[in-house]
Amino acid sequence: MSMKSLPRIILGLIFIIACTGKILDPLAFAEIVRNYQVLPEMLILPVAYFLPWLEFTCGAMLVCGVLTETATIIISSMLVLFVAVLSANLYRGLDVACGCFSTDGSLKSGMVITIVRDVVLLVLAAMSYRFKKS
Amino acid sequence: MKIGKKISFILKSLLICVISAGLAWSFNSLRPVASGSNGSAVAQIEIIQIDGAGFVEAFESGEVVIIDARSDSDFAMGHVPGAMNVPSWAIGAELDGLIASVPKDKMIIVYCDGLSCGKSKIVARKLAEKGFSKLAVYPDGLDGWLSLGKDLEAN
Repeated sequence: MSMKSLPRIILGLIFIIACTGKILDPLAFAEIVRNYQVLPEMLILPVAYFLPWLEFTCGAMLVCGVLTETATIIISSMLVLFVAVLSANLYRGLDVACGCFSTDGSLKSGMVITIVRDVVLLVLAAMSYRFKKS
Repeated sequence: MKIGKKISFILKSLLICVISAGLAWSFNSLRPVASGSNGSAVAQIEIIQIDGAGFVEAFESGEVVIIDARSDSDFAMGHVPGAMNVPSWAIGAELDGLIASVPKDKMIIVYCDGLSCGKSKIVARKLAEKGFSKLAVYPDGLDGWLSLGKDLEAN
């Protein structure tokens, strides 16, 4: 394993860890998605069931080194989406649970900290893309 | 990006989405209580929301069962006096064990942390799936209870 693989593997592991709680309790995650107040009711459950597994699949592919370019782009797109939604909620003054690493609605890590964390992950994704397998 | 590379990227993205959807479907269809298969019946049960005054009145009457939907560790640190704990993640046999002593003829009020917490609604829906019909949620939760100057009970 070369040093160039590290950003990719770290990013993959972070996404696998992040999705575990949401996979185990999709209904709790659905409530967190609902609290964001950005999706119509009919999309909340499908998103709550699908999104954690998309995170898992992309994370596993990054760790295993399979389809890394595509997985990195999908993860980057998700991170940009998360930053946009969190920023919108910050602007609206909605202090909701992030749902990033846990489905515990009482965990309010702070929107700004969460946005900064997502931006750091975006940098990790950019490094992963930069050092992707040729 | 060349057309061939674009098509390749779209196909690979679709493949990842199909794998994710397949995993989600397989995993959740194997779980004991996963996708709310009893959703249509649950939708017919009205889960009312009560405000602080209504919650205090119900609490003081002693005629209701109050359920705390937070985690067991949060519950141990402090909860509405007399409340019982049914964490939102409980499913299957664990959920059945937790609610075994809850009478079905009494009014049940579920709460969690406060306005940004959705766990009370989750537990209320699970109780509705289990056949409980007199259900209410206290959306203000523990934050609301404390803002009313009420005390907590700790284990």
